[in-house]
Amino acid sequence: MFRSKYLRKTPDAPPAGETVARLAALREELRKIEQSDWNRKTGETIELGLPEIDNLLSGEDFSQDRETLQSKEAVFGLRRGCLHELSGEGAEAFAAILSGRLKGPVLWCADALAGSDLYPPGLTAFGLDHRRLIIVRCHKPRETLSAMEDGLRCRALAAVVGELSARIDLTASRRLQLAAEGSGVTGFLVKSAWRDQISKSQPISRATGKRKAGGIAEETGTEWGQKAGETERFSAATQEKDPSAAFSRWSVGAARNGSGASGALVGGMTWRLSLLRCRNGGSGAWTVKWDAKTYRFSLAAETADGQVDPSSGQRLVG
Amino acid sequence: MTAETGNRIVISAVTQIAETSGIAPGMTLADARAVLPDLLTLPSDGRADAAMMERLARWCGAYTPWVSLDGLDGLWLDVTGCAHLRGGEQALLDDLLDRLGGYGFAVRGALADTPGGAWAFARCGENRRVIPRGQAKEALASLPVAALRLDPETLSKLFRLGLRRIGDLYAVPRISLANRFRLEVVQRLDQALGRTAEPIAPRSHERPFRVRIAFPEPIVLASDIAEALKLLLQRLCMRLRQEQYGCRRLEFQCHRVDGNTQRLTIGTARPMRDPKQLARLFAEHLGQLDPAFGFEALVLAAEGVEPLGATQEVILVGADLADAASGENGTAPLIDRLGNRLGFERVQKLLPVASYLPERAYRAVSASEAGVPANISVDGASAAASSTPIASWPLDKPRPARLLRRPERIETISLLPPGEPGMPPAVFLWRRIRHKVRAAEGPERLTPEWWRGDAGWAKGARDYWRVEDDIGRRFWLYREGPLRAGVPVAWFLHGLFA
Repeated sequence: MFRSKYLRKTPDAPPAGETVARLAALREELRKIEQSDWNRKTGETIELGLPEIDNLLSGEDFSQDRETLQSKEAVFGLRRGCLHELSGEGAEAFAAILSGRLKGPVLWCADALAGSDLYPPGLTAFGLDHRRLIIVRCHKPRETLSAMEDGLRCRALAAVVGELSARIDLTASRRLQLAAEGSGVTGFLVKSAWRDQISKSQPISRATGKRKAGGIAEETGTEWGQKAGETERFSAATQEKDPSAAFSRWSVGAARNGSGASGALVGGMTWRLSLLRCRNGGSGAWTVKWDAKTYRFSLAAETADGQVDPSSGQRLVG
Repeated sequence: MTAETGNRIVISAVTQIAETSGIAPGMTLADARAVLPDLLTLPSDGRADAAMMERLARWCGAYTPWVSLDGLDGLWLDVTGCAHLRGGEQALLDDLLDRLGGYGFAVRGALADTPGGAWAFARCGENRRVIPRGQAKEALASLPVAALRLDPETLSKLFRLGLRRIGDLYAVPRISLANRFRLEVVQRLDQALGRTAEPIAPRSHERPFRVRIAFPEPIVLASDIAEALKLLLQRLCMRLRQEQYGCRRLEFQCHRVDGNTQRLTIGTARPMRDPKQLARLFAEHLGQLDPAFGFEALVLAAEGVEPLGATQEVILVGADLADAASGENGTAPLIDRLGNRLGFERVQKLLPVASYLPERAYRAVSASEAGVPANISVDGASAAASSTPIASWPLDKPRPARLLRRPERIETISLLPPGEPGMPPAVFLWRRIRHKVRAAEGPERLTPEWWRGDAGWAKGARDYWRVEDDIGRRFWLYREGPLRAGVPVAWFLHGLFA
């Protein structure tokens, strides 16, 4: 928008090269303003431990070597004191891993997700110690948002995780982002993909387990299975367009672990990690593997499943 | 009632019926049983007795503000200037004793010029006697010397000398009494006759932590109520500070002009007396008040108080500020806020429990009770400091990030030949969505804890499998019960891995 206005207002536009240079200078200036402002408040990040992603998040030109960047006080990794949105099957796990890397208590605003509860032994495997967890049971999105905001204003916390089913509007996310900026507490908005699936239908109770005799034959590939899939895709698509003041937006989708042969061991955790949007940074998609023993990420070698090559993390500045 | 003194069990108090059968306080239990084989005894509870007397003393405050405890079983009431309120001294005494008798107490009382005189009549003389002013000497003369509150030793000496009644003492020269019994007898006699003063120390009156504000005109505006609350909080916190207390629970009562009373209650995770923080906790609830025609009086009462020492107020700068904000002191206000808004039972900490059953592996406790451990790092350096029976869960077994509250039955299709019935299904349908199993890991066999009758585990051991579907979603499934030919295998979904 800025560019088009600029060009229209000056009929005798300077040569193209000059415009580009000028734009670049302006962008640099903007970035400096943003950066300095942010650095003063928190100045710290959570590193994923994967240079490909950490560099991308820094918003710097990562064709330069790391020493130069460091001398420029560039930062690597996910910014603390910001709001980050996570969606997908691994959203909770990713939030647990990232907040587990911080020091201090973590406020987890859990909502009653259709009969399933956060299970602390499972979270421990992601490096989030149960003693650091304070869980708030919220029943409505409003409660979650207000609890998150209070948490984000509390400097004693390291991170606040909020599970939300409903989409939140720009105002709500801006409030959270401002609260996070003010205190330096990192916020994670988690919209689990399980939610889409779980809240779709009533559970089949134990007593009426045989509700439908030919259940699978009837429903496979026809009505429900397809419909659910469609809605899921639809919501994912709309979510990307959704305005939000969050600093970054990630999708942590399910990805297969094994080589694909039936009966193979499941092993660790693998996710399709996509950075959909990042203020001041780029975007990209990677398949990452989580090692629960060393608490470390690694980029997974791509398999013949037709998934994206890990090196193709594209960068779109702007 | 029995009490243990040394290695004997002694009767300490008896009922009237037992007394008539010859049981007296001071007998050993064995002797008493010999007298009355079907005697019912209860061990005496000194602390409860004392608490009861304390309550009685408080109750007697209705008659006079000047009440004091006399030993373990007596009360002094100084009714100087109070008797006319009940229609005279005799009426007051009767009223008091009737009421106490009506509550089921066996009670005796007397009213005299001096505490000593009243004591003598209440214990040894005529019940409900009011000794008229100035007649104590004559009235006391006929009472036994035991009415003078003397030591048993002194009493037996007096008996040996043939001095049985108080009247007998009047004739003896004071100097010889003083010589023989030191000052005790003389002093007691003087106290009973009013020759020396015997002050009664009233019970210390506990001022409740309660402040009140009344308005000449009822107030309606929310801002006015908030302002008044601020004032009340300041006054209350000032008192709390002086007496070194902090409040855990506060009640704000708003009395409306039409007699309706509205109450707001807040709780805090730790004792507090900072008016600003308390005001913030109230602020969210003030909207619930309905002033209608206005509140004429506001009362703020601290219902739960705990000792809270003086705190050093320091000026914090930079890094110090960050240090102070972290840890327990940092999160407590947050827990207070959330707890007051949503209910303290909804702000939880999860503690590990040593159990093999997945759903029993943790316990949720209210965060305000658990206390928030400060500065715990991932490396588990402080794991040893944890007081819970197990510090954490074993990490070698895979556990899901979400656990279903009730395991859900899944419909399955097994593509494997019927020879291997224990293997996980190839396709399953959960909540109407079809999942194709591409990989599976397991089984992990968990058996029910037989010492607990757990209805969910009635069918015996479960084989847990971790399966991955064709797009990479990971589930925690289990198969229930023993495998038997002809019995269909039931599969359930219990957890979701991330």
